[in-house]
Amino acid sequence: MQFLSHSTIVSPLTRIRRERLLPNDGDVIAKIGQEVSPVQVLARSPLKVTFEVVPVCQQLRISPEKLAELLAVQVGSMVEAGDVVVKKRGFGSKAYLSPVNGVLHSVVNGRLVFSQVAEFVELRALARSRVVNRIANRGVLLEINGSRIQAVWDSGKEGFGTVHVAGETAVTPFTADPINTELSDNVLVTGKITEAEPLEQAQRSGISGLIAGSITADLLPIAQAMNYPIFITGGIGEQGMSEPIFQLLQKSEARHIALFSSPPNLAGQRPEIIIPLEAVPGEDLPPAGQPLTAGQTVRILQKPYYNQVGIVTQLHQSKRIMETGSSVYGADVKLTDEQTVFVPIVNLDAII
Amino acid sequence: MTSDETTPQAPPQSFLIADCGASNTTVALFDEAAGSYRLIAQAAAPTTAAAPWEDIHLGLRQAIQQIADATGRTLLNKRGDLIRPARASGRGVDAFAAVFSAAPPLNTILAGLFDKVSLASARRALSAAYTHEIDTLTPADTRNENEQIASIVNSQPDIIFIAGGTDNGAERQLLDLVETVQIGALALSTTKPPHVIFAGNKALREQIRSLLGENIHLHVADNVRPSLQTEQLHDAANLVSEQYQNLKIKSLPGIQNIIDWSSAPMQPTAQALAQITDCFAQIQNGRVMAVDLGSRSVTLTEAAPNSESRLCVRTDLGMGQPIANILEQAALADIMRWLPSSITEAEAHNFIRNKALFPQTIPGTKSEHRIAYAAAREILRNVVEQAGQRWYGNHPQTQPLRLLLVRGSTLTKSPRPNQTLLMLLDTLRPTGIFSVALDVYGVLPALGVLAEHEPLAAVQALEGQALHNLGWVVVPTGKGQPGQLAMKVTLESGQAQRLEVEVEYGTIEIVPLAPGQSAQVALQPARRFDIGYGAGRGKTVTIRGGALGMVIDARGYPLDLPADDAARETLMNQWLWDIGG
Repeated sequence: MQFLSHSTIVSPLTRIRRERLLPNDGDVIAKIGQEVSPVQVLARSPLKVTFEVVPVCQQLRISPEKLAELLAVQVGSMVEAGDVVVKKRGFGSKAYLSPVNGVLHSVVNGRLVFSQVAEFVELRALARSRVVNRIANRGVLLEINGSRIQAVWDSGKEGFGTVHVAGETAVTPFTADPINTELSDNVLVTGKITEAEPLEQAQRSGISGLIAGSITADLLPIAQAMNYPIFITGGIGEQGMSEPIFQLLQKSEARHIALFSSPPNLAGQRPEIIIPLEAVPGEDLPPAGQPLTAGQTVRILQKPYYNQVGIVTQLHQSKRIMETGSSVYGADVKLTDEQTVFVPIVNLDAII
Repeated sequence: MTSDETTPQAPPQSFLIADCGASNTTVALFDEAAGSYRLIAQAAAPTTAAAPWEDIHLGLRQAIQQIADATGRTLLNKRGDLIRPARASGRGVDAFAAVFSAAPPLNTILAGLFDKVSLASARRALSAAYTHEIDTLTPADTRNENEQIASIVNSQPDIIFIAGGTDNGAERQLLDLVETVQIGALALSTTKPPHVIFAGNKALREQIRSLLGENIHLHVADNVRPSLQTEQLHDAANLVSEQYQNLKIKSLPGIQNIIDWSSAPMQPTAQALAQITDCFAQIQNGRVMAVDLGSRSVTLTEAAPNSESRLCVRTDLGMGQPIANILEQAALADIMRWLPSSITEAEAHNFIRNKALFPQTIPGTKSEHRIAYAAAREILRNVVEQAGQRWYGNHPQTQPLRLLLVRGSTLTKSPRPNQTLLMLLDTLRPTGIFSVALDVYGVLPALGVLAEHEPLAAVQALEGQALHNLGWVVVPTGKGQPGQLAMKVTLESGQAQRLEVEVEYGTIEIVPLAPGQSAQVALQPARRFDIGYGAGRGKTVTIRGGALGMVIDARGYPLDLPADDAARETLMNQWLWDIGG
């Protein structure tokens, strides 16, 4: 019997293809084949639009049917505040002037509807990369050679900077001690986040981002309120970072790093940490979500071996009883301390 | 679950049914065995609609292949397609049906006139499908029209549901609201045009049709509130469910293969569950309730003969990704009260947030299992409270229950079904004499779909071992003093065995009765207690034993949980002990 498993990419060198998509339809600026820098804007769209509805027929005492003849601008045209939008000629001539800088969006039942873009969203490349495809009105597909780590949670922001490992081990808690303004362009790496104060200190110091293995549940709203991106690679709690991820980030000290968040409207696209390595061409990873096999490196997603990494030594073809009494399909996993433990398949995450 | 009726022979036919949930896809094979339809095999695989797979067909094929491996019966051809109909060689199956809850809910904006009238009815109609209310527009809105339009445009709803005005009643206010919707919907017409459902004053239908014009998808349903005293939800609820099928289920990646295989139209799981619950209510001639504690939603439905069935789907709660939402609807202390004091708030909080990140996982330790159960209790309590309020207002349902159907792996795959039963009793608060059946194979809703097309096969499958009979439960209503006699039970089974049990108020008793064993049970409540036949009135019933025998719950509702942690823990441990640990 085959067992499909969820997976996480932790790859030191690969060819990465990352979609950069707008939340709504918008303008795609970048072109196929274009080499882009981290700050380069790839696409732009309105994020928030405001409206102004004006009962112009009532104000000018004209019928809705008549309004169409009196429009001085076409529906869909840009207007500036003060532009004449409706002009009533002849005896008792009157004009209606645009109240906003925006677009005459529509005319509905004798009312003018103006729209204004209140907030734009701009998609930046975040990493030096190449545009390999354009997705009409939505964004682009970037190609980058480098290291790729899939995270499990992000605070809703993204960014880039220079890697600086702030903790000695994969389970070292984040403290305020090492944070100062010299780290302002850095993305810090730490084992776990267990206190609020260092997060605030980091904000005051102007860091560019923070990557941790875990964060305690009570700090999630505080993390979301910070003005810099926070990425969690393991999960919620005090377990810290998986060793392979910590080692990869340690080896990337002082390199450029990009933090790509998981867009709320694109289910399935996980937050990703990418470290471009331009000199070396990467290879494609094997496809994700393949059936588990013996020899596969896995991470355990629940207690009692939460966050430990090991290798599958055997896949059991019949159900076994767990400590909780549940009867489940599972695998024997050899942990780094040589201990072999039985873990339910659903609690395994293949590392590819 | 005691029916001894025999059903006429149907032409032999094999069928495969699938339940594509948010986390798991379950497949079951039914075929004729010993003159009747029986569950031959069942298998489950991860639902593969989301990344990294993004092909729902993949997980389904995996589960089907597991059945093929287990039974030695070839079900898929070399291309991976289902072999249908069954060949003379025994390969393939004759029919296939599937239900779905894997798709995300319909993001819905609700527009209506009055919160306690049209909006209340509209919410009841919407709660019968997988919807998520993202905004509400009313004349009492503190936002102005410009802000309401901006909200429609910026939130990009899948549907806008308009209710309001009794038939031939209010017009102007409703038309103003429709104009606001019109402007918002037109602004979205070039990007993501929403579907507008109008279920208000029927006198305005044509006016609204011409107002909204051709660029907006308009669907018209019966007015959900034709008069202040009457409500008709069926048509509107069906229309919303249809939109879920068209806009969400049909958008699942890889769905076309499944559509091509299906012998029956695809259905949302919740509607199919309501359908089979209704069938049971007719067969049992009594009130039947079904609860489905799923990964991404919770469904509660109940049906009784000669009355319209009720359905409540909560997409904001569940045991997977939405589990964390319970922390917004209840205090952490409300969850902690169901836990022994050895578990800290931080431990419970971290577990719940982690479960939301990894919805497919199961608790790995006893303490995590307890936390999952405590969260499940609070989720069920919340769902039952809201559904009760929506269905019955301030007059809670008192009709005794006849059958309780239970779904969702947290409930059906629990290593200790007695704990599951305790949770159900504590949260659903059913009363009367009823049996409890667990849908351990995840086949119930799909059998509901099948019942429409192959009723005999579905009934025979249900009479077989498709459901796990947990046993009978008696819950009297009434209040007393701890230690006071609440009920006498006399059980007589076939082999001249006689057992007499006195049940005290405030306790739970288990009367042993082996699975499948029949017995005659005389139930005599004390003067102030009622088991559904009037205070102090007894009843003799013939029952067949289930996994837990017969459970008498005389604790009285609502449960009085002591505020003191130690006292509460002692009491809960006592109840756990009473019900079998």
